[in-house]
Amino acid sequence: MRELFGWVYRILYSKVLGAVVIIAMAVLALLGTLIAQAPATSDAAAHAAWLESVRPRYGGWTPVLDYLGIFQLWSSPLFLGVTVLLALSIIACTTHRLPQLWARATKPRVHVTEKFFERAQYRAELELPLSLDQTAEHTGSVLRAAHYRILPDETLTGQRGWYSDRFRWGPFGTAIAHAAMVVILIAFGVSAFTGFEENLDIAVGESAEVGHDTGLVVTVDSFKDAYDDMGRPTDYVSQLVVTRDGQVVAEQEVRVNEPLRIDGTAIHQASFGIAAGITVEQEGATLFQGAVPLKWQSNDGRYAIGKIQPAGTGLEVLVVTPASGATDAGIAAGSAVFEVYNVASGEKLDVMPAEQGEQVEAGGLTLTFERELRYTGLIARQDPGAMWMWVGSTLLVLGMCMTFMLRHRRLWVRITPVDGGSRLQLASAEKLDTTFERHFRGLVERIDATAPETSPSTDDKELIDA
Amino acid sequence: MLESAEYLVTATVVTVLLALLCGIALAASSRNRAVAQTRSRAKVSVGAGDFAPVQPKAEAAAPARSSSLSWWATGFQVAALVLLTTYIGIRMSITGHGPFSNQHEFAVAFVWGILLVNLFFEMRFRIRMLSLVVLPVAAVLLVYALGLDTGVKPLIPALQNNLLLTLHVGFAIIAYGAACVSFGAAVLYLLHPVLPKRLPLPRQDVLDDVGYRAAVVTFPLLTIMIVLGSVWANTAWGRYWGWDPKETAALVTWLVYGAFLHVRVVRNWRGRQAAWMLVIGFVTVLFAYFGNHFFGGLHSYA
Repeated sequence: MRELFGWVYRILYSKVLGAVVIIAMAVLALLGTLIAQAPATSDAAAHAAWLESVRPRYGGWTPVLDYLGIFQLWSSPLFLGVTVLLALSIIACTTHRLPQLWARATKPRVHVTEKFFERAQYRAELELPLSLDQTAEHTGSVLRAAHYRILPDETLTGQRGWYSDRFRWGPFGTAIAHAAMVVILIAFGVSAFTGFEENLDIAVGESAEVGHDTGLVVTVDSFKDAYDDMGRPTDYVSQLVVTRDGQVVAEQEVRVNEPLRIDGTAIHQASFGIAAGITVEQEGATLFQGAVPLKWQSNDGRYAIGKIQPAGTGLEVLVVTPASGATDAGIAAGSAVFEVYNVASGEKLDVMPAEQGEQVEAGGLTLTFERELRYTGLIARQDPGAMWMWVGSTLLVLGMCMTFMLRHRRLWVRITPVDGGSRLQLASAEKLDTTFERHFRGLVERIDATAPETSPSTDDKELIDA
Repeated sequence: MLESAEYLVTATVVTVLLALLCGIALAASSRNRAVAQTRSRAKVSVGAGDFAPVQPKAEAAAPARSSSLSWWATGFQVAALVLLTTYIGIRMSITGHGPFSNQHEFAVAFVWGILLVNLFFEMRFRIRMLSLVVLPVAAVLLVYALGLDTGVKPLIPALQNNLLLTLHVGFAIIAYGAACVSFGAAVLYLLHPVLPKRLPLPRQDVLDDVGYRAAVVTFPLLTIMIVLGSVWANTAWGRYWGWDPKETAALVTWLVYGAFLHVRVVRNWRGRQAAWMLVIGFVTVLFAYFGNHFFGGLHSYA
């Protein structure tokens, strides 16, 4: 069991797997962008109808893509599997790497051999007319000014040397960024499985309950819209009053970019349009009274259509009115037609025209077309995952800044006495890096340019005299 | 006023082409091969090379300041950036918002980002030859921008958030500009073996590293851009992520650069593989940018 766990762990922290999973994620995301995504629905008939609508585009591939879940990629087992694998890979990589990062930051290798100064990727040599101590002091001061710490190599005799590094905590940025990715994936999970999203289509002057145990009731006091000369909406705003137990708890003009937030629930402006005010009754009981948004249009564009399924009836009622500006519609302006369908069989049970205010019987229901209204489309949403998303995003940016801006730089320094002064050697095993190369050259140049021009003999004499 | 200002974009195209011509002339000339003189006592060695004076090698260094061609090449780029900044400023004063609300404005802003980052890399890494690839991209994008509807229209309600519009798209244009520079370095890397040896190109490993450096700029900025986008989406649409095609295209771009940096750091991917990944990365940037034409979805207004 332990061996199996070790084997799985080794696979998960494999960098190859990490890269493959990231690329797989990119390919799937690309597919999801290029291939039409079906609307989320549990209605098999609606899904079948959607498949038929895309069949001309995808031809014989339609059933294959549907079987593979590509049309609902973001909730498909394939995508979720890759996401879980990515999370596991990130966790394994991070836990595997942390001890290495810790050791490198806290227990660096201070001593290196002479050969290192001959073979390292970056090497510099400089002879200064200074004593061993003076060279060490001067070089150390230049390095400290460049934010390097100095850990002396105590094993040397007759020479001076040390290990220097700066930004040793910078590489922990990768661990933070990787942890952030896990937090972000968790946020997606929290968003998907907690909170709620409720579409509220409310006619002006009417109210609707948000539900989901919030106790909130939203009333639309007024609605305004404005258009440019091309007829495109430039602004639409709902004046909302939110109450709980009859008490007003919030009041605000809500625009697309100005949602109303109350006790963790946000109410967003989503859409607007024309609705039909209707009443649905059955055997004297009122099943529905309110606005049915006319959200759909007939294929010929002549009719506006709204739908409602009165609770417990198994029926769907369509309200059909002439579309805005349609002069050739078969329904008189100011009136409507009710169509009643059996939801289970899809059978059309009845079709009844109704004048404004008229009560008609159709499919065993008593239907009244009250009047046309304006409605505003709101979305009420609670998303406990959002907070985790912001935490993860902040950590991600922080981790990246640390990783890329605070690169851990390591140098080894050795100073050897030579005739007329000291030989200073600097070396670093960094990979080829033009930024570090410039920095390394700059350091060496600074050490050279700012070195005091004092002969070692004079210094030695002064020291002896002292 | 706006129509007159559009002449600034035309002038920018001409200026960019002049900068490109100077770059080509510079590449063809050998005047920039002056070797820096040094009095330094220090000697530095990089890789397997011998010890040499501490100053950078001439092949990776900027052409001598005395080179008039070099001066003109940089001068025209600076002039192009100034012209475009002026145009953007005038347009902003008319529209009251950043130049990010339609394809024309974003194309102009994209080029502004490219010119800015290219100049930064040219100054910092002293590699002028990057312009031979980067400036043609900028010129083509400007011509494309001029071919689009340049009229000013009111912002649609979803875009009426000046702060987030400026920040979200502002980070995008700098990130995309850096992506274009990394693309330039990658293309030069791939063409290096077939280009004439007399061209004053940097070493391949230097181009490889410059491409990486530009990707290191691209990736965090893309991250911030996506995060700001999700903050905005959460405010405007009530959810921070909705698999909208444009969002997903941005995610693909982010994943490609993330994969590049991942394999670079942990697998030490360099050379041709890395260069090809940077080319693919820039293709995904263009895909995300031009995607508005065919994506649909919530970003289809532009």
